[in-house]
Amino acid sequence: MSEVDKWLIFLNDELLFWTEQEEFANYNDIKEEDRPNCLTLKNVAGFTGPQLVRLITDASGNKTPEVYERPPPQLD
Amino acid sequence: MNTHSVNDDETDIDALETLTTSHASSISTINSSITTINNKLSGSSSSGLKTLTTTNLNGINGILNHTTDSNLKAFVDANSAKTGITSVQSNNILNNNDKIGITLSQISAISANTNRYPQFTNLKRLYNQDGDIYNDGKIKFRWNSTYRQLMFYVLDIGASEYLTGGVVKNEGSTRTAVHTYLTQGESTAYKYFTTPQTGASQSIVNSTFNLTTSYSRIEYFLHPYNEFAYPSYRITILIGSSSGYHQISIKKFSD
Repeated sequence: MSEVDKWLIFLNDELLFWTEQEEFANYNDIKEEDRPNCLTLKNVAGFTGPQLVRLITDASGNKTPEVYERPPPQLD
Repeated sequence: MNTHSVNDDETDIDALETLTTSHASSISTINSSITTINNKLSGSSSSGLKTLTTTNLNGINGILNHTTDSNLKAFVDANSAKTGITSVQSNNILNNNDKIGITLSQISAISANTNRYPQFTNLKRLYNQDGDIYNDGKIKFRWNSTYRQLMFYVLDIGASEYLTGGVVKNEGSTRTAVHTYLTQGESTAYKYFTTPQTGASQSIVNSTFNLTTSYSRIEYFLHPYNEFAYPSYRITILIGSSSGYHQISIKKFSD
């Protein structure tokens, strides 16, 4: 069975939202001033939906996605 | 030109008679041989052919009757053990026969109930997964994960018809609400439940109604302003963790 494509939209290196519909993989709802800090990745390995993802910048300035588990619940 | 005369024919007949008489013995032998061959072919007398045929027939009959070992007999013997079911299996089949199948009246009842209103659509949705969640041909709903609000898109309605709607947000002990007219005619963009957006492509967000707080219960509604033949919707969203799965329940009333 083929996997469904997932687009991940990052703001300031943290996952802002994701979608399985390419028509929503855009920055239309993001403030104009924040858009330069956004990045879209498609199909990040290990990401199925419930996890969180952040971008790690290496010495060369390349950004690599790091998938990590959601922290335990905390009272707001 | 034909030069054969009557005298010639007589001469020929005489020659044939002479030949027949002189070879009478050979002709008799030939006749006898033909009779012998006919008897052998018909099986009325012994011959190698008859013996072979009889042998083969006996062999085939032995195979068919399973009195002679053969691949066919081995196959049948092997599968004979597989036929038949136990009494327990038989009882199970009989019991299950009573369970399968429904009557026509039951089918009609199911169809009637399937089409009865209100109709429910329930789903779990991650707070940060954007995209469409519902489409019935009249309206489609989208979860906007940037603002974390429900949006709607009018697919089919009269050009002069208005939709009204609103939202009640209960967070902790705080209640925030808005109700208003929302759209006119069909949409070319997704719209929010919180502000009039009568232009087809108009979409105006009110961030006061972002659903970013844990322990919340939110209820949206969408209802035609003055149209009988159009559905109404009441959508409830239950939020445990603001960064978790939200329970979205869409209740549709009428067509």
